[in-house]
Amino acid sequence: MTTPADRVRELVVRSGMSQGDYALSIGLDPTKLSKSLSGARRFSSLDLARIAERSQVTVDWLLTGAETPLATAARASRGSSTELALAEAGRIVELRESAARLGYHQPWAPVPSRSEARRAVSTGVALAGEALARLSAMDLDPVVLDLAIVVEKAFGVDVAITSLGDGFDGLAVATDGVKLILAALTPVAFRLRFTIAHELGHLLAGDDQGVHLDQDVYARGDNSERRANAFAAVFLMPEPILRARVVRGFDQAGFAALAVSLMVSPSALAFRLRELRLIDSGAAAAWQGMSAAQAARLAGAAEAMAAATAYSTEPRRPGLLARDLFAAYLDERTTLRPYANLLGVDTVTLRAELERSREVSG
Amino acid sequence: MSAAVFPDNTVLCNFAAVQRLDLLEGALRGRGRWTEAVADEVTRSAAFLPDLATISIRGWLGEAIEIDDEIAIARIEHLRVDVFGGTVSAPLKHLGEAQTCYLLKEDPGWAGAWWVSDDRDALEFARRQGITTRETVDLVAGLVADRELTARQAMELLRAMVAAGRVLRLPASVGELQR
Repeated sequence: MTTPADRVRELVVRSGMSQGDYALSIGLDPTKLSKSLSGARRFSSLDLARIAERSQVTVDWLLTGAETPLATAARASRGSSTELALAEAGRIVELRESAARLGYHQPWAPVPSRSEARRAVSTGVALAGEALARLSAMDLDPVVLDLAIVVEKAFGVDVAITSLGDGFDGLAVATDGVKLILAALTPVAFRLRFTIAHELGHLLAGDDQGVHLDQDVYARGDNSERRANAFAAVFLMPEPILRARVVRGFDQAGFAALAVSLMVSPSALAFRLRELRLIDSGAAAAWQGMSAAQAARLAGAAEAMAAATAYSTEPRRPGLLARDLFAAYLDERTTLRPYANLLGVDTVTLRAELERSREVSG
Repeated sequence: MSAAVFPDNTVLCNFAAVQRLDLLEGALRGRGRWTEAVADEVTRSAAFLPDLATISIRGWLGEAIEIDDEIAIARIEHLRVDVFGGTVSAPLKHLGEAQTCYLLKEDPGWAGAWWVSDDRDALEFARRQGITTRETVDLVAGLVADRELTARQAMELLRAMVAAGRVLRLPASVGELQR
C-alpha cells in the first residue's frame, strides 16, 4: 500500500527536478521535504496543498491515491478538443460530490432492466418502455419542450445544458454518487432533446462507469450507441402517440406537424414510423430528408419552432443540484458559495438578490 | 478573557493597508494566533502590503499552527471545497479559512477561540456553527473602549481602510463605536 510520501516522491521524479529544487519550487524548506519523504516528519495540510497545486493533482489523491475516472479523463484531455466539455463536467461533479458530503445525495432512480434481449436495439426499446412507464406513473409527459426537468424529476439525474466546445453533442457521467447529463447548446432543439434522451439511455443501461462522451448522437456506433439511440427514439416518440396520429390520410403535412409537435427531427420520425410499419419505405424515403425549417413551414409552426430554439440556446444549470446546494445553505451546513459557484455569480450579488426578494415578499 | 483570537488575512490586510498593525497587535493582547495557510496568504499579500512582513518578524501571532494529521487534512480539504467554495484544482484557495474553521469547530484544543474576519460568507457560517466571531469594526470599537483611540479617530481609521481599497463593514455613526 502506497503512502502520501510515496506519491509525493513519484511527483518529484515526474517533475524532472532534484528533490531540493522541487521543495524550493513549492516554497518548502528542502530539509522538511527530505524529512517528510523519509518518514521523520509528516506532511502538513499546507505542504500537500502546495504540492497538489505544483503538480496538478488533488489533495485527496495525495492522501488516498484514489482518483475519480472523470479526474483521470480530464487530466488526459488537457489541450485537446474534449478539455472544455470535461472541465465543465468536472466542475458540476465536484459540486454534486460536495452536496453528497453535506448530506444531500443524488436521488438516482434507475428503472428495472427486465429485458432478456441480446440485441442492443431490443434492449434499448425495452428500457425505454420501462422509462415511459415511470413517467406515466408520475404523471409526466416526455413530449414537452423542457425534457431536462422531466428527466430530473423522473430519474434523479442532473441535467445541464451548456457550451461543450466544438464537435460534441453531449456526455454522461456515471459514478457511484453522481449521474449527470451534459447536453450542448444548439439552435436545433430536436438535437438537444435527442441528446438528453440518448445520454439518459446510456445511464439507465449502466453503459459506462466514468464519463461517456458523444461527438454525434445520431452516428451509428457500437452496441451501446445503438441501444442508446433505440432508447431515445422510443422515449421521444412513444408508440401510442404515433398510432393515434398516423391514421388514414396521413400525408406529408401531417408528418411535418407530427415532427414539430413531438420536437423530433423528420429523419428520426420517418425511421421510427417505418420501424413500426406505420408508413412504408417509400414514404419514409420521401420524408426523411425534410429539414426542420421545411417541417415548420409545412406545419405553420414558426412560433413553436422559435420557442424551441430559444430553449435550446439558453444555458441551463442542473436543477436538482441547485436545489440541494441551496437547501444545504438554508440548513446551515455550508456557505452560500457552492450555490453561487454553480450559478456562476458572486455571493455579494446573490445575497443582495435573495435579501431583496425577502423584503418584497415580507 | 483568555480565548485565542484568529484574525484572517482580510483583517491583517485592513490594518496593514493603513500602516497600523500596531493597533491590531494591541487589540489582540497576545491572544492572536494563525494557521500555516493564513501565514502563507499573508506572505503573499505582503508583496502588495509590505507591512505584513513584520508580523512574522515580530512574532505576535506566534508560530503558525501546522496541521499534519491525515484525517484532519482530509476534513480540511472537504471544508475548503464543500463549505468555502474552493475547487480541487486550486488547492490553496480558501485553505486559510478551512484550516481556521476546522480548528475552531472541530479541534477541542481550540474550543472557545474567536474568529475575526470581514468576509460575510465566513462570518455567517461560523456564527451558525456556534463560533464566536468578530469583525475589524469590533476590534476597533474595542480600542475605543480601552481608550487607545477616540471614537472619531476610530472612525477615521476605518474610513482610511476603505479609502485604501479594503472591504469591511463601517458603523452607521461614530456613536456606534462608543457602545
